[in-house]
Amino acid sequence: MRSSNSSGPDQGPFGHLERCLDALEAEVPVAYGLVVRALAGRAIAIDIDGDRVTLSIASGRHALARSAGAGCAIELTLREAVIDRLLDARCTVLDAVLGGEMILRGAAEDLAALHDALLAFVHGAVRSPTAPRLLESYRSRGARTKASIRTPDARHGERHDLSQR
Amino acid sequence: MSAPPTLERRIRRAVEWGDYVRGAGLRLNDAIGYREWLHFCFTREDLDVLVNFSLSDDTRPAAGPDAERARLVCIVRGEGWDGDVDEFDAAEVRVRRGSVDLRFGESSVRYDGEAIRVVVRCKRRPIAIDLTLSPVTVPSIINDMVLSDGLPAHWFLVPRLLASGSITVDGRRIAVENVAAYHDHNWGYFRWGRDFAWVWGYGHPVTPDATWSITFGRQTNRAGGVDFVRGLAMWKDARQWRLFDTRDVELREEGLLRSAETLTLPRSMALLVPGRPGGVPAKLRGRASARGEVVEFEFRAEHVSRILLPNDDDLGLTVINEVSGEVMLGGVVHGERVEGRGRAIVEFLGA
Repeated sequence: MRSSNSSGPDQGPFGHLERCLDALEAEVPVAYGLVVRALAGRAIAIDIDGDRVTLSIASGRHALARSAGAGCAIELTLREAVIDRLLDARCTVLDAVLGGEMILRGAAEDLAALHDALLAFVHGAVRSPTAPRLLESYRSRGARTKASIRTPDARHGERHDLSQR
Repeated sequence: MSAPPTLERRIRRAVEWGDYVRGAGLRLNDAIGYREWLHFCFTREDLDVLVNFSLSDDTRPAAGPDAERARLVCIVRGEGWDGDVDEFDAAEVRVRRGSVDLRFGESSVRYDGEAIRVVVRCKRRPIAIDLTLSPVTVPSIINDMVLSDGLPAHWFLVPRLLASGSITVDGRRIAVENVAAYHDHNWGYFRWGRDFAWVWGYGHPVTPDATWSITFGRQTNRAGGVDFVRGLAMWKDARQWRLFDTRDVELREEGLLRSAETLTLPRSMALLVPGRPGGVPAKLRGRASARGEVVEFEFRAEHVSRILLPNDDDLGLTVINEVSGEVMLGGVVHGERVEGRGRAIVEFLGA
């Protein structure tokens, strides 16, 4: 079961990531296909400012779920401030990694796969009519509420606050 | 240097008759890929400014068949680089076809019969531009350029305008007065990523007794190995003075520009091309000769910014490098010796 079709006041990075992946799947399937093929069968533990989700790619689709991240091929840890700087071209991924602001753990081939997926994701996002609005929404997030996404074990319509640990 | 009154009237009429917005309603054969933009730029040693208002078919795969996009590109190099690409919803856009009168949000461009007023208010960056650009050379128009296998595109240009007004970046106001600027207006069919590339530029060399404007270009296949068209046009003061065509013109790139700082737009796309710009030559030399006349120029690149465009038919990118620098011009035209130098901007478009 995948987490998808998020709705509601989901202003955090995970909610935006999920909606952007949904948009790519619907609007730029070629790029979405490259993302899922690059990461096929892998799970990525993403930690942003202490909030953690697992992005899984299986059966040609993505799923974003709150979990402890056990068994993930890749661990990605960073702060939202770094995301802002990346989106504003004030640093590169390499700058962030070498500066210790982004931590990536995984086998070389898994990290290379993540790199390929990131490029395909950006190529898709710039061709998606929805993604620019999501980017604008993310950039203009003000008094942000904690991101919430549906979890695999949540009942239909039930939302899970990522701040719950 | 002002033109005689009759020439001033001719310049104004040429702008009025040639620079108007056509609009995607004039699509050929319902083809998708119509684009139209008004481009303004100038450079001096301490300042580069580029403003581009564009209207285009929305060629993104999920866009509706009649969807259009309005975008504004703004680049300023002052103490550092700043700029952005703003996109506008339909409700924010007002365009009067048949004239130069566009409003994108709080930004606008309008020709009032004597000068072009350009106002820019970036949405997310602290940039405000208020310029009055007065055309002082006779415009030129090039119709039916065919890029690759596409439908034609057209190019109206005013090689020299005098720009006055202000550029405010992050609260710091920079006044400009009668700075030589360039403006063009393109419309037609451009599908980014097809088999074409170009080197194009303008220069404003000054000699003791005249102001010169030059534009030059080379259109090639995407790899840059095959030239389709080359050309160099010269204006002395307000009048077009000499035109050299493909057989007359050679362009040669030398070295590589090592620019420490740059701006890449849209910012989020910089993830796709991290690091310094590549492939921009340190120098561009041009030589045009015909009927015993020879003109040579050397452009020395100093500063570069990049505009990234998603290809329309694949997941690749087209990179436009906007490069400012100094140009030296020399030669003999119509029996007159020409030696001058000034500022120039050259655009290198490619993969």
